[in-house]
Amino acid sequence: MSSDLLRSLSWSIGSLICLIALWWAAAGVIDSRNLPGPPEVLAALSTAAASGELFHHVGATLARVVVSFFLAMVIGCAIGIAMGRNARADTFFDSWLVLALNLPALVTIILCYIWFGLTEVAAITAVAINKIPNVAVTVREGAKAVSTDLMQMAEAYRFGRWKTMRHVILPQLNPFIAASARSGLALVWKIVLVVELLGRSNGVGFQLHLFFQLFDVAGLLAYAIAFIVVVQLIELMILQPWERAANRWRS
Amino acid sequence: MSAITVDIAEKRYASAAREGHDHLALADLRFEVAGGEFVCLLGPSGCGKTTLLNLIAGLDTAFKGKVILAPDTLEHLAYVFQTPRLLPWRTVRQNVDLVAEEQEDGAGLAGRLLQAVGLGDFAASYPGELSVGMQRRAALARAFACRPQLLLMDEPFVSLDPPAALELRKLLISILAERKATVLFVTHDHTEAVQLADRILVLSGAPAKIDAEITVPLSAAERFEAETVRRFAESHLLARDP
Repeated sequence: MSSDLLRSLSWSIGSLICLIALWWAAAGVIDSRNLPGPPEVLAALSTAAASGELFHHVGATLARVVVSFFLAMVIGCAIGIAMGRNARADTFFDSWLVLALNLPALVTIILCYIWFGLTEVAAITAVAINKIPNVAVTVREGAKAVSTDLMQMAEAYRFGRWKTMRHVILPQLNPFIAASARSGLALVWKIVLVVELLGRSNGVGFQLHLFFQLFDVAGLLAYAIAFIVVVQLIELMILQPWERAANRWRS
Repeated sequence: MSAITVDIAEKRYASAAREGHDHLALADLRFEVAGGEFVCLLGPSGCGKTTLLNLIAGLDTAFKGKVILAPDTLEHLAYVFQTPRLLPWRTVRQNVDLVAEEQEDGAGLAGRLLQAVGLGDFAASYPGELSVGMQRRAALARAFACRPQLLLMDEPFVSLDPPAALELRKLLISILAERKATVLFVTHDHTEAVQLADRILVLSGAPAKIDAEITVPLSAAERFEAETVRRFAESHLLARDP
């Protein structure tokens, strides 16, 4: 088991090293300010870290990601469960959901900024609205497949709404919620950057905009890499352990 | 007043196979069960026995007629299904606790019941780690965790080998000796009916009709003498089979 883990870990590290080597070689060949090599990006990263700017902006972005992610998960799950458990609601709201799924992220963002002003609330609302339909669609499939046998058991023993939700329905939805959480995290942080680029005065997206105007590719890559690392840490330290704990009974 | 009064005029199902047609599951079915009585509904598969239990439990309210239960029965109604229907993501103990926690001293009750069904050492196991027989014991413990006044049982011991089923029937009787309850027990097994019931309602046909009503006057000891049970079943029940 642990030797398997070690082997897969060494493969990932090896392949990452190959990628960095390729990047380095390309930077050396092209030799342009527009494609800095790893040392330049590392230098930009340490400058930004030393001045504290990196943590300020990454922190601002992370806070937006966390808030809009939770909002989207909670509201998306509620909609998904309601539609999955109620055929009439499903038929009625299905076309709304299709519409929402196909609405470009940029349209929601611009509309939110126009309607609610260039505010934090508008930014977070815009991100959440972009993610909610994806969560709802995934969770709806799970809610449709909830076991009738167990629902009858819960009803016969008078579990009531809350107990049925917590002990009967949610555990069955767990794989669906986990799947939408993982894809959701990746989607949400990318949209947060766009929201910041268009209408906030801090965060990674704001910084990227600045680097774009300065043609500072090293800074751009430094911030991108810093945030990828943060998202990967969330995945490894929060989402994966949670999924393992939720699936313990399957062993 | 009776523990259960059943007076069903008609129960129909929308047929999944033929759109627009429905299937008559139950019609003109009337009987009563007295408080503390153990009644077996004996009939072939598919005659509507499970449907009937679902109506009595209140899981299905779309029918013509009425089912009257003694007051407060619904809060103390246990249903043991054909399959154990335990929550696979909760441990055995948690499965029993979820029902027991509504009761006074629920934790103590759950512990004693798990001991009584012989699962004291498996409280922390998940249902998937247990044999089918053990899962059925857990379902039995859960049923008694609501301090049932009425116990509905839908072939709860099928798919067990005969010795294991016999053992669980004995276990059921011993638990009932300490914890009185009215029991309505569905089965298609003559021996099982004779061993357990005070009274047997023989059902046949679809929709089911009550063909016969047989009181079982055997003593507790006689019920587990194979020969006595066989003879009783032969003279009272098998004679009716076509």
